[in-house]
Formats: sequence, C-alpha cells, structure tokens
Amino acid sequence: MLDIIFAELIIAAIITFFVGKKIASIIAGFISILPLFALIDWANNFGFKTISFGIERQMNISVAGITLHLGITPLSWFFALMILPLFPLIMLYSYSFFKENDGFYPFMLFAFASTFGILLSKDMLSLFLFWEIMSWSSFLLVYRSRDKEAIISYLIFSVFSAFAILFGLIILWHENFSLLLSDIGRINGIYGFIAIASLIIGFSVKSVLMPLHAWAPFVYSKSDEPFVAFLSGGLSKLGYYGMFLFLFTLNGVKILQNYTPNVAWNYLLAVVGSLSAFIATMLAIMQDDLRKLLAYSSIGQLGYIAIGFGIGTPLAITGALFQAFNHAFFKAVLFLAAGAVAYRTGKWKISELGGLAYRMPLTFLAALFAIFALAAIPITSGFAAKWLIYEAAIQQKYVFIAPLMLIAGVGAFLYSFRILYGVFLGENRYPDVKEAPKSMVAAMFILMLPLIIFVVFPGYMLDLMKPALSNAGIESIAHTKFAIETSLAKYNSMAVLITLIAAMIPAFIIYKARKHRITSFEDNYLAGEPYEFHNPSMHAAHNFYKPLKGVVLPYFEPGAIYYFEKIYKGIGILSNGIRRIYTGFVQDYAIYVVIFLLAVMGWLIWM
Amino acid sequence: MVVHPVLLIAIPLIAAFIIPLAKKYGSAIAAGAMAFNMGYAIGMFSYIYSNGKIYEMIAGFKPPVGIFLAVDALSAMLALLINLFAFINFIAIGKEWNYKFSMLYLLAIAGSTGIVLTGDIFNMFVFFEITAVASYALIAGKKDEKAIEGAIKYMVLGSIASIFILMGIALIYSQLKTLNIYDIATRISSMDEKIKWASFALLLTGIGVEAEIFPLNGWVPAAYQGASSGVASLLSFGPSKAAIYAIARIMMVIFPFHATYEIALYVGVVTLVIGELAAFMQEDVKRMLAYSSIGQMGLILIAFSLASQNIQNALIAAFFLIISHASAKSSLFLLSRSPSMGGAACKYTGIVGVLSIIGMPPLAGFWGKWYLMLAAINEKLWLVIMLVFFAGIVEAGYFARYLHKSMGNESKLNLRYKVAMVVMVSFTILLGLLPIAYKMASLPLWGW
Repeated sequence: MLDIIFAELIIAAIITFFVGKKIASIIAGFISILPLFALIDWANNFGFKTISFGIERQMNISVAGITLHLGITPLSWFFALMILPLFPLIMLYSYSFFKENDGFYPFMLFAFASTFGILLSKDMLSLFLFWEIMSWSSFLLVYRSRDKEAIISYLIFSVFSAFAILFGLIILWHENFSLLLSDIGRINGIYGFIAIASLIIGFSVKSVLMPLHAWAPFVYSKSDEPFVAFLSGGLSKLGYYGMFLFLFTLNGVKILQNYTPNVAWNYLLAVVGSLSAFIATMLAIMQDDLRKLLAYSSIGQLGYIAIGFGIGTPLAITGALFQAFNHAFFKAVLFLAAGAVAYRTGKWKISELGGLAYRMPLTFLAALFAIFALAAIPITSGFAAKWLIYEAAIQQKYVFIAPLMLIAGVGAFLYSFRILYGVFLGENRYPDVKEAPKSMVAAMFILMLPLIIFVVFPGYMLDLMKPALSNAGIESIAHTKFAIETSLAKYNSMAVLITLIAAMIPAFIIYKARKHRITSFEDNYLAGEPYEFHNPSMHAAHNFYKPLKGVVLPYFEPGAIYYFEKIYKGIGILSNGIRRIYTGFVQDYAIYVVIFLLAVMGWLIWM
Repeated sequence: MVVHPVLLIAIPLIAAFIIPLAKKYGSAIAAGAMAFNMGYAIGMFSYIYSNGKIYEMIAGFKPPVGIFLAVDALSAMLALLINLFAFINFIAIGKEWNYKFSMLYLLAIAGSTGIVLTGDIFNMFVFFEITAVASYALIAGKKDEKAIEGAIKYMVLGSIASIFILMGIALIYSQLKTLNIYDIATRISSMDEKIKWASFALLLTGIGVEAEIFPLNGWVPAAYQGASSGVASLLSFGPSKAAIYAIARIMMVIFPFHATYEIALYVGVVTLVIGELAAFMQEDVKRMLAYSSIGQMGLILIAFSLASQNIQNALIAAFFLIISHASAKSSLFLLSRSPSMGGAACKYTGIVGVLSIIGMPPLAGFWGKWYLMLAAINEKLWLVIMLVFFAGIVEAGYFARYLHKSMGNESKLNLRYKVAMVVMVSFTILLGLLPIAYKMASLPLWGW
C-alpha cells in the first residue's frame, strides 16, 4: 500500500502538469490526503490506538539499479505528524488563491512526495535523493516568483546544503561501507567530527539557522504564500529532523560532547541558536514588509529549536520538539493569513494596511491565535514549548543563552503586536474588502486547531513525542494530560485556564448587568485617546518602532547577507581574473599547449 | 547474429562521398545514413548488453598487422550516444541542410564513431583527423566573423595537436613496432621509461586539445560562440566525448600507471575549477555554456582518473556524467538559439538541462556525482571533493542567473527543433531511472 501512495503522488504530480486549474487542484487536494491515512495507521505501531488501514511499515523501491530502503521510524512519525497535515490544507487554501495552473500544483506535489520520502528514508542514498528532489521542486516553485535574488540565493544555498549533507554522508559511509542509517556505529575521531559538523551545517541551511539564513528573507518575501507556508512550516522542520536523527537517534545525546573533552560543542550549537533567535527577532521588529517580517520571525522562532538541541537535556529536547510542532502550524497560518490579506488588498507593506479586522474577522481570528502561540502568551501551546526551553537553560545555568532567549521572547511580542495593530487593527483603510474566500478561511482554521488543542492538553503532546524520544534514549518528563512537571516548577495549563475563565465570568457578568456609561473619546483616564481625522500618523504605521530602530539597527549592520554578497562578488572577481587566461589570441593558446606538454613530460620523466 | 561495427563507420563515410554526386538529395541521404547508424548502434548496444564484447577484423588481416575494431561496454555506449544524438540533432537543425553541411556532418559523426570503436592507435589518429577537419568547416559554417575566428583558432590548435599525437604514436611504434592498442598494452613494460612517458605526454596533449582540458582549450569559447547552435550541440556530444573516451582508453589500457592517473586527476580538477569559474561571470549564453562544457569535461576526466582503485564506481560515474553532459549541454545549446525560454518546451528543456548538470536526482547527473563522491572518498581525496563541491556551487550560481535572465515569452523555434530538443534532454531523465549504466559498468572491458 505504501508504494501505491508514493506512486500516486508522483503520477498526480505528472498529471497536474497538463490539466487546468480546477481539476489540478481537486486531484492535488485528494492525493495529498493519502499520506495522512498512512500516518494514522502507523500510530498503531507506536502505542496509540487508532484505525488501521493495513499500510505496511517498510518498503523497498528499486531505481536505476539500486534499492532504496524506506520505512517509518518513531522519530520520523513525529515529524510527519507536524508536516503531513500541511499538505491537504495548503491545497485547500490554494484552491482559491490561484487563478490558473501554471506549475504550482505539479511542483508542490513533487515537494510533498519528496518530503514524505525524506521522512521515510532508512538509508543514506534515499535520504540524499529525496532531499535533492525536495530541493529542486521547491526551487522550481521559487522560480515562479521571477525575482533575481530569490532564485539565485535559493539555488546556491540549496546546492551548498546538499553538498554539505553529502559530504557528511559519504564520510559515514566510508566507515563501514554500508548505506543503511541503522548501520552507522559510534562516530568517533576527527572524521566523525567533520561528518557531524558537515551534516549540521547542511541541515541548518534548510532550518534557517543563522548565519546560513541569508536566502530566507528574499525567498519568503517574493514567493507565493501557500508555498512559503509549506516552506517555512514544513520544509524547515526537515532540517531539524536530520539534525535530530544524526545527533541523537543514531549517536546518543552526548555526541556533541564526545569529541573533545574540554570544548562543549553542544554549547556552541545552543549559542548559535540563541543568537539566531535574538538577531532575527530584532530584525523582524524593524521590517515594514509583512512577508519579510514573517521571514525573520521564522528564523528567530526556529532558533529556539537549535537552543533546545544544544542544551541537550531531556527537558530541552522535549521543549525543542514541542516548539517545532507549534512553529509548523502557527507559521503556516500566519503566512496563509498574509496571503489572504494580499489576495484581497494587493498590499504587502504594513504601513499601507490597517483595520482589516473589521472586514476580515475570520482571518484576523486565525492570525490572532497564531500570534498567541508565536509570542508564547501564557496558556497557549507556544508558551508550554518555550517555557520548557527556558527551564532547561535555567537548570543548566546558561547565563548567556537564557537572557537572549527572554529578550527574543519580548521581541517576538513586539513584532506580533505590530502585525496585529498594523494590519488588522487601527484605522480602517479598506472599507470595501471582503472576507477571504471560504476555502482559505477553512484551511487557516483547521491549521489553527492543534494550537488550541495543546493549549489544554500540553501533556498529550509529550505523549506523542514519547516514541521518538525513547528511541533516542531520552527519558520523558513527568507529565499528566494537563500538566507538565519539571524539577524547577510545575505548569498546569488546565488550572490556569480554569482560573482565567473563572476570573472572566464575574467580569462578564458585571459588564452585562450594569448600565453602560458613555464617555468622551478623548478621556485618557478611561483608555481613550486623542482622535484626529486627517493625520495619518495616528495610525502609527510608519516607523512604528523608531526609537528601538535607532538604537539597535547600527549594531546589526552589516549582517550575514552583506557578507554573502561580498563572497558572491569575490567569486565574480576571481572569475573575471580567470577569464583573462583566455586572452583571445590563438598564439597564446598555442604556447599554453606547448607549456602543458613540457610540464607533463617533465613531471613524468623526472618524478 | 553477427554484428559488424565497421558498418557504423562505413555507411556514413560512403554516404558522405555519395552526397556531392547527388546534391539535391544531400540531406535525405544524410538523414538516411544517420537513421541507419542510429538503428544499428541501438542493435549493437543491445548485443553488447547481453553478450559482452565484439572484436572485428577489417579486411581479414589478423592483428597485430591488421586493423581491428574492439567494442566493449564503454565503446558501445559512446557509439550509441553519438549516433543517436547525431540523428536527433540533424532533425532539429533543418535550416542548414545544404549538401555541404550534410556531408561534413556525416564525416564528423563517422570520425567520432571511429574513434570510439577502433582498437588500433593509428586508426584512431586517422579518425581524429577526419573529425577535426570536419569540425573546423562546420564551425565556420555561419560564415560571419565570429564563426571564422572560432574555426581558425580550433584549426591552429588542432593542427598542433595532430602533430603531437602523431609524434606520440611514432615513439610507441619505434619501440614496440606495433600499432594495435591491445598489443601495445601487453608489451608496454618493454618500452624505454623516458620514451614511454614522453609518448604519453604527447598523446595526452594532442588528444586533450580536442577533449577540451585545461590549458589546451583556448579554442573552446571562441568556437562554440561562433558556431551555430546545431553545430555547437554536435560538438558537445560528438568530438569532445570521443576525445575524452580516447584519453580514458589510452590511460586505462596502455598506460595504467599511478603517475598517469595522478596527472589526469590534477588536470581534471584544474579544468573543472577554471572552467566553472570562468563561466561564472559570462553574460553571453553560448560562451557561458562553452566554459561550463570545459568544467564538465574536467569532471569526466576526474571520474576516469579514479578508475585505478575503484573501477566499478568510477566507471559508473563516468558513464552517467558523459550521458548527462552530452544530453543536457546539447539541448541547452539548441535552446540558445531562442532569445528566451518561452513556451513549455523551452522552459522544460532549460530547467531539466540545468538541473542535470548541477546534479539533481533522478537525473543522470546526480548519479554521476554520487558515484564520483563514493569513488573519491575511498581514496580520501579531500581536496578533490572540496573542489568538486565548490565547482557545483559556482555552477548553481551562474545557472540560476541564466534561468532568471532567460525567462521570457518568445521562442522563435519551429516544432521540429523543439521536439528534438525535448527528446535530447529526456535522455537524462530516462537514464537516471533505468538501470542500464550499472549493467554496463559490470561488463568486461577489453584490455583488462
């Protein structure tokens, strides 16, 4: 059955090349649900009682004379849980988003199929093969954007990431000449270190860990939103899947500490993650383009996962995986909401938007919940994840990382508020727009559901993570369905929620019972504010965080992007220099031939 | 069933000689000859696939006196490649079908096929000459300034190369008194040391000019830029592949020494890096593709040079890289005739061609690079691996720029051209999915 799912994905991808938009979106929508059946079926294997469809756990495909070994593992099941639901919902969304089928559906289906393949890979070749297919199919989706920086930076970084991963894989292959991931023994010594470092670097390109994030602002801001939602919500998790696989599942949690006794390489990973979170969050606050803001926000939020992996305690890793799960959904919802806003108003800049909550209330609601999760507002699932990571950092007494994380958390709230206020609240500048189309709203709402469920049941998330963690030898944290308990504190979301509701009820009753008093709009004491009809600056859309910008921005220029551009130009200079060898005079070329002959003869005869 | 490889060379040659007598039917005769060649090459290939090797003696003289053709897996694959693509390419470039062009085209194909099929070193030289002279004339076909400049540069360097090849052969003959490659190989140890190395250097330099290795490839940018797109495409899959085959054959059979493999590796790496870097800043599409071809030739040479220790992986890598480059680069050259990638056929060709050269699965280029990496890590050649990676990233840079720049809507290509282009590039997809190369690489090679 598994091979049928795969085959259907590929065949659907090829078919959607040729058909019109309506049929393509229907085919794509239904086909992309298929992996979910597999997901539900496999849950039985990991201790959760669900329906069984009889889908086998392993399969081997033969391509070009080689056998690829595929199968589901506990870790990949957990990551599949966060990525696979995105497939059909993004297809649902794109039903209304696109006017015609000009290449979106086929390449998205290839991207889905290859993502499914990466999660199912049990040997190095299939992991690399599917990783590359994912790279080129997402490249072709970026190519549709027609933006020069996006296309060039994405291809260069994808190829770089592919080579780094390949380098790591072939070093591991060379140890015992087996391609199976399960045959990778303890990786020791200098070669093992190089392999792991290379793999981490390769995977970090996809998970936008600084400084390899340079492609993200360009690509996220210029490509189609449904694809960006998948890229940021889904594909970036694959980088962390790879990292977790090679760091923890195959080698044990202490791997980064094994190489040199005095240098804590895991601390380096955590520091890089925290700097990534901090710098990206600061940069996100400054952005005016909504998509770029969400891009930097992604970079920042994904940095938390690296912090968790770096700290390495069970608490931290649990928090990291929880954060990964949350990020998939809230970032997808946010990009889809941004797409819905652009679909209706045609505008990207926050300074040009405003007041859309009145006209697009459902979009606003979805974005609001997503922002609650992003900013880690207490009792949302985002809070549970970040709280676990904070606890872990505090437990390990990391005095550099914990404050950076906290400042980044505050920063996340700052830019979240900017999104809410600048786009949805404030002065209503678009009185005529309609709500987003139904399919888009439906997709956003369904994606929002996990964020709400885990508000109340954070413990359930830890149950879902258990197979993956125990497979890696990481013990689970004490928890019940509603509460998580660590050695420092106990977080019981149900208790907080009930308290919150219990406090709201009297307030609500009072609000309804008493007569309302009308006051003047300008009464500051009762939360009013001066009202000016004709001064657009009151909407406070431009230069929203000007004081912060003035203080902070000089320290962040020049950034990684500047240095990558320098490298690009440097290669250009090198290239121009090399071209001078080809002088254009055939006499020179003839001399080269003679010089070569003499050199080769000399080398051979006298060596 | 007896297979006569000599027909693959004889039929195009005879057709080329007939064409001036029947000028009006020139293109038809040529198309017929190439169709025959294509069919026969496919037949020979499937014969080799199931049976191994073929030896054929010409005119009944037994070697080492007579010339003989020895066809094994590598030769058969290259013969198939050259003849198949020759036919498809010919169909595409209908505009240039005057009888002179057809004649020269047939000569170039006959020569390239002869190089890959022959077992006699002087015979190889003869075919080199035929191929080279035909190529000079074909490049100059457009008759404008750039075409003639390209042809002259190639001619000057090619003439020097011919002299060196002849000297190399003469040195071997003077010592061993034989011209048969197999015979030379068995007796190579009885050659004087210094003369042996000198003859290898001469052969490498001479054939290397045509195989586009650095620093012998000064003619490449000018020639590819000046030639028409169909001729540039021919050069990609024909003479250059035959020449790199010749280097590989000579190196693996006659001079299988550590020193020669080492030189080939260094030369290959330098060619790769310089070729890709030179391509990075090119604005003109044909020049960019020409420098990229240089880089790919370097990569193929690296693959062959790893055959000393890891014969299996290295040969599979070489197979796939040759297929990928021939198919992708030829179709990209055909594509360069159109000012921009308009329409589905052009976009598809451009994208698949670029992805194959960069090395994305399931295209043939991916397998080439994968097996190359496996072969290289076995010998712990870290610098080589790093440089191949660097070259790959540079490739991604300029190909991304090329894809971005050539986005557009117009393509002034007729249907026949587009069909040929698409068929050519489909071979990288096909051969990335079918297990042909593995079977071929495990078949016995003659001379071993």
